[in-house]
Amino acid sequence: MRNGYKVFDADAHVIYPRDLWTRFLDKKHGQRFGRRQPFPEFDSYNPVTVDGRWTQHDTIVYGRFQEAINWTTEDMRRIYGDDLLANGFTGDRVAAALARDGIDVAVVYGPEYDMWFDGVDPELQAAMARAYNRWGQEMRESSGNRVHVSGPVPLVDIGRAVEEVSYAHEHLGTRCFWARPNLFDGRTLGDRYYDPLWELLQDLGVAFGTHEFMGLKGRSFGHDRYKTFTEWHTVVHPFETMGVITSMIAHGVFERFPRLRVAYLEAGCGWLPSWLHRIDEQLEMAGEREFPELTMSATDYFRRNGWISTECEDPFVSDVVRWMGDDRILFESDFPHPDSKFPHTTTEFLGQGPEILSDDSKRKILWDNPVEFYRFPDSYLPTAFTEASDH
Amino acid sequence: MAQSTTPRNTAQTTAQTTAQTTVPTAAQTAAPIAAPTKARIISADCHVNEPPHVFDRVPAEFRDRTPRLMRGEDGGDGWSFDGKPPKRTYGVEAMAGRAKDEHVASGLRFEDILPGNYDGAAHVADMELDGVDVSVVYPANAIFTYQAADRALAQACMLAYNDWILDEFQAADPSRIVGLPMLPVDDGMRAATAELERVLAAGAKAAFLPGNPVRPYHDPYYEELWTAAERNGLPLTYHRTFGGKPQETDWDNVANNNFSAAGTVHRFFSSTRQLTYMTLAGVFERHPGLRMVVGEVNFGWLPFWAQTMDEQFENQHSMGTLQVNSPPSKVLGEQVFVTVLDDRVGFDLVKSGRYPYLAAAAMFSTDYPHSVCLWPNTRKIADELTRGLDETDAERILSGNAARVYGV
Repeated sequence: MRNGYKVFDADAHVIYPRDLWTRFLDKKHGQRFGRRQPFPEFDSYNPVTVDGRWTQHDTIVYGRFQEAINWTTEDMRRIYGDDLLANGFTGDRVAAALARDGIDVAVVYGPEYDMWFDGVDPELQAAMARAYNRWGQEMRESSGNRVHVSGPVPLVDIGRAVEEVSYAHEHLGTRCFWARPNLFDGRTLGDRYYDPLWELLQDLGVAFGTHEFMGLKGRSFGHDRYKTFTEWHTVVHPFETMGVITSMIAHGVFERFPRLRVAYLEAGCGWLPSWLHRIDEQLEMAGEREFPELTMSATDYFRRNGWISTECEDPFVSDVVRWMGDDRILFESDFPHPDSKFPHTTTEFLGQGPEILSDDSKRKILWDNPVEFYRFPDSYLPTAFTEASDH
Repeated sequence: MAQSTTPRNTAQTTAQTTAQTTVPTAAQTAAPIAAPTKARIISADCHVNEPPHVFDRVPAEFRDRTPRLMRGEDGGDGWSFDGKPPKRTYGVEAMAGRAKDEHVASGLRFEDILPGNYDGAAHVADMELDGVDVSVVYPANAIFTYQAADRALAQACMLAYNDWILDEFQAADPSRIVGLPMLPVDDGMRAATAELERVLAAGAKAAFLPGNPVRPYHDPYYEELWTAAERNGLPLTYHRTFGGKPQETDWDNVANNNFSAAGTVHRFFSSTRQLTYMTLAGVFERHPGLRMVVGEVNFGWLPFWAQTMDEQFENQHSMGTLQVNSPPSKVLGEQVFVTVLDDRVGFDLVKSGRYPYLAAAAMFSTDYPHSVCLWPNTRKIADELTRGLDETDAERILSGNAARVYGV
């Protein structure tokens, strides 16, 4: 809680334990993982290999992006403290860290790369989803229901995707799911191949999010033209999100599954009203012929089925409020990634003037909207709220 | 205004039909030449052109959306996938029964094509006329099911086709027709393996995979399918250009498509990339019981391909980086087969005796009823192609390999 506002962080992350896969995966797959820097003394982020292949794009593996953004282990130690760095991002430690920032409950998104690379063995991808969700269960329980983990959906084989979502929901307590928004096997998330997934999520009444992480070993916007952090990171998050919103709306996902709830995370938000307007313009021209099943405008589908997240200091959130209202905006801290303002995310957010956000809008974005989007059971939400310790 | 074509009595034979319609008889066109060879002939690559009722068995919820055989703007009949007049009508895919100088690209009506296109009994009658003992039959327009956006509808139509090809077409004479049901490999391995088990129980002797799958066949995604096919002894096939959307169209996009570069490339080389990756990725070594037949790609290129793969194996084997332990060419004739038409280069290579795997890997075919088909001169052409060939090699190519793989 910060300044009396309850805070629900819709999109956070952690630094994963090094034994994430070996500890939680079924034993038959455990030996397939490794960690290998491309050169001695090279420092690229999380260089996990599967079956000897890097799980990140070559541009990331070789790009020296850590140097470009001047993000070192010492930086992390300074911001997050020795305890987290030395003892790991366990549920209790993450909950305590987030509380310093005034965050009462958070949802963690990941893994960024390890299970999404081109050519991943579908059996392994499904096994990784299950392993990750086992870890997620431990995180939730060890955090006292302060840190929840969104379950990754193994998209490659739709039969396995449905099985893993069902399993995680029934056996591991997972109550929200996510996938990368990228093009997998030439399919967008609008492809009817994924309809069994949407049907299940809708029937379970659980939320789904998309989240880009620059560096997919596969095709993502800009991968074929950018080699710098500045260019690629600028483009890939919003462009992938614009793309997936367009496909899911145009191909009728929300027409066929009107009760589905989808959030588009870590992509900025100021562009959203204009983008939906642009989709509407194209549908006015070609929609009747290309997408005759649609019965609503893109803007209206989003108003009914979509949510967008905002960073703590994005003034263009006011444009979303102006054109679409303040009911569909979620607060995200992006803890503990380099672009996060932790431990000042809530301070920065609340510090935005009334010309950006009203107090009522801030309250909704910080708490009411995420509660409505995730619709966690009451037992998953805190009952006690404490003012943040850091200022 | 386009009209739906009335379904015909599919029990008509060629002889019955030709007496009533404009379908040219063999006698009117290119009279079959007396069969000089007595060898058994299995055509390992023929096709149907589906009858109007092929999708009638879909569940009720899909019936108003299934493709329809309709009258096109050129006066011919073709399949409509969107309720509008078909984009193309019968032509090159149904030329059996017409002399070369009477071939047309499109514009034929359903009643203009041989009933052997869509009726099992008529198909067998046409085989009799041509001296063909067994026919392995690939789908035609039903392959739309690999590209249709509406996957629920597509899968329903695929299953309906599979029921039709097995319960009606193949059932006309299961000893002489091998119908190829389609597997929904792009809809997840659960769907694909379930359909494999279903068609197997319905009498399938083999199954069809798309030539352009969403994921390449060396992807680990397919392990369950290879395991299921191997466990059940079910051979799998794919056919050049058939099924799915080509993943790489860049070259065709900038070409003047008035020439047949795509046809040339696809005919002879469409299988090399896929088979190379499958082989080198160890698919066949991991599944020694898996047998894959590639349709209509001929075989004159096989020795060069085998040589190139084996060279790579020799060069890299000691480095320990390969996923195979035996020379890749070992799969030819044991697990990998190709269907061949009148590929004279290929037959000459067999005669040379230098590439024994050629006679073990090749399956003769007529491509009935397509425009390049050998019908009704198959016996004469087979005799020409195999003249001077070792008798055992000839037998294997004309029927033995297909008999071994398909169990007919």
